[in-house]
Amino acid sequence: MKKLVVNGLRKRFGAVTALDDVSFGVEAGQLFCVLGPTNAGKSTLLKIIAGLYRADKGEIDIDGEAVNYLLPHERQVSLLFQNMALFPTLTGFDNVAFPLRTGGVTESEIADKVGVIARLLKIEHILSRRPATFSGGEQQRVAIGRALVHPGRVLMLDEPLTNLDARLRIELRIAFKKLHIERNQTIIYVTHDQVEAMSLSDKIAILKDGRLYQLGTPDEVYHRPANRFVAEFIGSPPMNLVRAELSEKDSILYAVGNGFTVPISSRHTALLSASPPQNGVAVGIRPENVEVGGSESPRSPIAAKVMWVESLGSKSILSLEVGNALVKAVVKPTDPIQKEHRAWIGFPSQALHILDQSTDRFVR
Amino acid sequence: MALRISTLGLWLRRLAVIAAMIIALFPIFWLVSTSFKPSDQWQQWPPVWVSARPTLQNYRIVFAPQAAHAFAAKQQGSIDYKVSGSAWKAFRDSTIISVCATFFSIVFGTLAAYSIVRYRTGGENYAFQFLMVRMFPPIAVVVPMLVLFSLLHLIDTYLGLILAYTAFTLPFSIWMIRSFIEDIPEELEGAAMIYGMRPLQAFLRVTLPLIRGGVLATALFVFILNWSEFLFALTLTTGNIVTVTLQVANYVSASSGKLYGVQAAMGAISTIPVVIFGYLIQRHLVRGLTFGAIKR
Amino acid sequence: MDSKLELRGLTKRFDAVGAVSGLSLTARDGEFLSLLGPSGCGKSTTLAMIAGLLRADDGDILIDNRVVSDLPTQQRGVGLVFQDYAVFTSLSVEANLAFGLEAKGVRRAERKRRVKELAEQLDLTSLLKRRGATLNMSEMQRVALARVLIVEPSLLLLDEPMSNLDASVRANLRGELRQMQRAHGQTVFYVTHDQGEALSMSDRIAVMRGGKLLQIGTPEEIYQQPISRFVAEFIGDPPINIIACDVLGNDGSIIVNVPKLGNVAAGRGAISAGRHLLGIRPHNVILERVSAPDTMQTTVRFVENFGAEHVLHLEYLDELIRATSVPGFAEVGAHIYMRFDIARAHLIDAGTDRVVRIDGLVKPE
Repeated sequence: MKKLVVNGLRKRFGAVTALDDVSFGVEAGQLFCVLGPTNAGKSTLLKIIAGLYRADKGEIDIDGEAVNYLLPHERQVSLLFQNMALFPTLTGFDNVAFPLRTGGVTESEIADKVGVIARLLKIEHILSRRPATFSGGEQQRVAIGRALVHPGRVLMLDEPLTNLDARLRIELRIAFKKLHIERNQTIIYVTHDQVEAMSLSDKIAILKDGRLYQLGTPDEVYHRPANRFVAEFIGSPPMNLVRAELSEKDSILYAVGNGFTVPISSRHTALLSASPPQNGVAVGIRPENVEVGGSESPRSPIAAKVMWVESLGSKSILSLEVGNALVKAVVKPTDPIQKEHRAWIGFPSQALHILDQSTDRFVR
Repeated sequence: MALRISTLGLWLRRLAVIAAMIIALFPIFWLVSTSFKPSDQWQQWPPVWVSARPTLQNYRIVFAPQAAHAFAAKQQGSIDYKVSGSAWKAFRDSTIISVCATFFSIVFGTLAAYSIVRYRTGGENYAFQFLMVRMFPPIAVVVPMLVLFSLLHLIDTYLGLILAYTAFTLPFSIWMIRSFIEDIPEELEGAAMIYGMRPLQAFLRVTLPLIRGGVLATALFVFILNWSEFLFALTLTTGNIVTVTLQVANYVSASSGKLYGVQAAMGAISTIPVVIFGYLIQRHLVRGLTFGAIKR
Repeated sequence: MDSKLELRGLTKRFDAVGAVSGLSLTARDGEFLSLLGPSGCGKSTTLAMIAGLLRADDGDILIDNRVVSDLPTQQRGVGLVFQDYAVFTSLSVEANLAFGLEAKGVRRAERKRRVKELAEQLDLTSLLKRRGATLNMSEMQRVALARVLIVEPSLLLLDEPMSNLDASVRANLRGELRQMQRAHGQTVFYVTHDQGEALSMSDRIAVMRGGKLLQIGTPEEIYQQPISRFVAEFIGDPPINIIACDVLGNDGSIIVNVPKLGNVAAGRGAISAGRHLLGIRPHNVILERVSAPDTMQTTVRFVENFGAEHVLHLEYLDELIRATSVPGFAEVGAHIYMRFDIARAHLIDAGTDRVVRIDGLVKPE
């Protein structure tokens, strides 16, 4: 039995559709990520699960029982808000202790639990002060502490790391992972940062404009994106997508674009023959799969111009002009091609994804 | 040259402020001054600014008509006053009605505002629709109100006036408190709800304390409206209930004559409760309590 | 190469954080220079002083070899973009863009032309008629940028302009900004706390901390040759691993010993014997499935799956070491073997926190 099941959720605010037929399930102990750009409906989704908003349509089940008609405190979930919502008249300690106080826990137990969380989040020194005196990062950590101290059946975190410095973000990411594994806590984690989502999740739901674009494990959304949006959203740099037309020559199917011709694998050929695209295709290839060479060769037959290089230390990213499209490729930081103006690249057919332009979905 | 112009500007501004202050405070001054004048100076022209012969007789009449009567009999040249009713009753009646009506108006107004803001009751413009009710002059509804109240046996009762005043100040309460509630992000109540409180509990214990200043300011405003209300007090009572406003009117009537000095005394005194109320709550009219709790 | 912007001993004293002390650097004409550092390091203060919004307590600012320290902002010839974009909400996007030109007295026909041209370059053509208040964050950022670019300042000052944007939008805008800058040849002075952004966009990076300039160099130099522990830890994602090591030897002839791995390096270095630190980047941790010479056994505690590569968190003494691996190399709980690519490791003097170079690096017997 799944821990949380969400089925057919719909929510409108006046003329704006916040959620449109969203369904997914979360297993017990899973770290489930809801990933998407701002205004995708992610916060609305969490608030509906928590009971702060009522969905226009759809059911929510926790531990097998419907919670649609339960008040928030009856659902036994925990939610960290995007804007933190710390109680301004309470000290840091009282804020973190708040969820425990309404449950009849003894004061010494409260002090213990708050202490553990405070040590983990490095907020012991500010517990006696009020939120008005905290920095942005401190406020965020106190809010995280309040959500963690009594996580309930499902712990929901709405962009918990966005206000923090890059260093602290990385530290806390691992802390979350640790917490999740050690306590086997079911977590729903909302973010717009796909790096966070990939790093932490067991499963990712990609949301945009209230609709679910793909639901899958990190490997699935990375290696088998369902549509254009997912392919361009996941991965840094994102997948290259270049327009091409299909043409057959000597009974081999090719994708012909501006400045390149690549053969298509037999698997894709079979799929494309079964349902031919109406409006041309786009070939998709991730930057790390692009072959790069200094001279024309069977593996790198496509001429390209090196527009610029980003040296990120552990790797370098070339931005290459092919025809009138921009293609990014990843090379080793020591690769001499970075200093050149011209390069030769290749799109290996086994790493190629084919996108049907009329549906914006990948052919699989 | 530039310096002189700016100094001139400064003095002009100061002059303007002084003029505004004089205009605003003159009625109060005149009220207090007249309240200490003997009867022959009440309508003197040119006007007597500050009486050379101040007397407490007007105040005596306000508070103790019998004693004043006796005093007047002993004085040469003073008018015999025939005044019915003591100001004490007026103060008592006004206090009961104003305090109760203010209380109900604030309580219902707060709950209605909560419902409108957090639950979007009544749609987009519900609060404004309430406010529109107050845009026609009350005199237009006085006659129907009279009929309605007499059918309900509410004429000349405390309950009647309290209900009428509550009804007529409710739109202001809702409108003002609504804006204070909107200032507080709903996530604050959301957090309280998720961590154990029922919705209304969360509102009363988390949000309400944060808007305390605003609610008190609204209460003051409503109290002033109730305290100074005349039309309904006049039409919905027949003599048993006398509010301060009615009592003030009584001093200039066919039966008692034109007792302007007494009227001034009553008027001066009746501003006092409002001033005290305002003074008491000014400490609570401080904003800035939510600073830092919410990320904007 | 012409100096576009020069800072000499720039100082600003604050009681609280954000002070700057003795900052000296030069940005060349047409260069994209990033000022990188944690919050409170003084980078925004520095930018404010260059822009003329804050008065320096000491030091000079030169633009085009002319001292501008006493000039008001509008006379310095700079363009500013802040974190909060301050787009004029009541005006249309077109009016926003034309604003600066109008203030400079550019004629109407010319204004229209330049607005159209710039709008095309920054993909704003479809937004021209929209009112400022109706834009989302990403659109506002581009409008703010365009508004500054249209008056063609030769020096562009940007203070964390992308921090309010979604990660994916940021990545796209970085490329656009860089392209624009190359096309127009402006000098850009870019303040950020995001090391990835700095590495990706800059010709050179200046790393700041506590009001002082720590190191300035190309992205490769900063990454491969950090001069201190702080710079080594600040740059690089995943962050560098810092472990304890022992330095043996004297007279400049040293041997580096790492617990569980033994003597890993020998050479000459200006460091005294004792307990010091070794920095190893996750990409320089070499993993094997089976035992091999010079490796130690370890267990995988966590795996971060980034699609193209995995980051494994491996047990080492009582800490975790981050190592990158190809996808699918190991699962949580697997026992594998690791060693360090010492040639790329950084020896850090525990007393001074500075990186010490080892000359004549050899593998000890």
